Amino acid sequence: MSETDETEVLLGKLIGWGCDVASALPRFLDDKSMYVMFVKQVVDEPAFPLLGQAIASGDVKAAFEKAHELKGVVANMSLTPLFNRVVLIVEPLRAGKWTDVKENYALLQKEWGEFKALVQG
Amino acid sequence: MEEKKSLVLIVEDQKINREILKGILHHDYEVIEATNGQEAWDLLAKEPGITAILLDLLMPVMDGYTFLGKIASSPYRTIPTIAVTGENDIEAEQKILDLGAWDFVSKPYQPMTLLTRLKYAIHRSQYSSLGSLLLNSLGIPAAVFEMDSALIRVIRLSESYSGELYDAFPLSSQVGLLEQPFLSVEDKETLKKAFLKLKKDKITALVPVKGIQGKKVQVALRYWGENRGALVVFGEFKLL
Repeated sequence: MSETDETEVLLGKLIGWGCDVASALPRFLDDKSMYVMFVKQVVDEPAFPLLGQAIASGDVKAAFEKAHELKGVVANMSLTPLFNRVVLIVEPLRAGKWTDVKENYALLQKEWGEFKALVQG
Repeated sequence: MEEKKSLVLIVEDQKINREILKGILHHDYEVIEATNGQEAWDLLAKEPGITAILLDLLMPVMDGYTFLGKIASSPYRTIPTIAVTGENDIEAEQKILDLGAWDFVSKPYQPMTLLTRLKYAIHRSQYSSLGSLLLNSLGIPAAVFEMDSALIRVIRLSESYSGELYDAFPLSSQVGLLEQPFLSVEDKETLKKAFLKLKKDKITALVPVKGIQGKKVQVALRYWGENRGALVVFGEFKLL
């Protein structure tokens, strides 16, 4: 399969998964291959495991900072399913609370796994 | 000859977001990067040509809030800083502005919004820095205009130089102001004398900032002045 075909296939998968690819592309000058290149980088985004570590250690400030960072990335990439989950983690942490944070992080891990499989599959 | 691009400093710890910003800016601006407020602060000392700063707020080492506080009490405060943030509440926005940010944009970035706000922030800073130069370094000149009529008088004055203005900056012809028969011959002579006095002091024109019409004229006059090594000063200062 050519690179262009691979790009189109991945974009189709992302759209099928619920990502708002159309709103993301203008941020990448409508360059689909550039967008896909960054999507692949998000898979290994360090803020994701660091958020898990901060939650596990009970550090609300660090957890908020990492969740907030993650939110910025997935928002800019229009990775909608991940964004919707991360928002549920960011908001209680912003208020210094742990309400449903662990539960939502567990669900985020699952969704992150789906995302990874989609990109690397 | 290609016009030199303005230099914009991106301060953002997140690599992907930096890359996105660079992609949005690269047609119109040169870009340098810092991954936190401390790096940005160090760069300001090393790189005097920075025209504007795009600043993330939550960063390690030195966050955007601390950076804003630091820059506000420094000589760099005339560089327009636009906060880029995922924050979406009025309190955060107010805090950013109180700390001295010129504007803010939210993630996810909307390229046209970002570029427009950046462009206008840079324009505003150019006007205000010239005004500061006058007030702080040169002193207010002896030749003065009344505040309310200063703009129109400068427009009228420039009528005498309309040919030069057209050559220097086409916008002046688009504005259409220079074609109007503003003045009597006597008035023209009076203003010309005042103009020449200002020019002798290397101050070509003194233009209060007022309204959109004023902005267009300011742009025309500024380019005109720059092309002749003269200083055109803009600002909301009280004239004697």
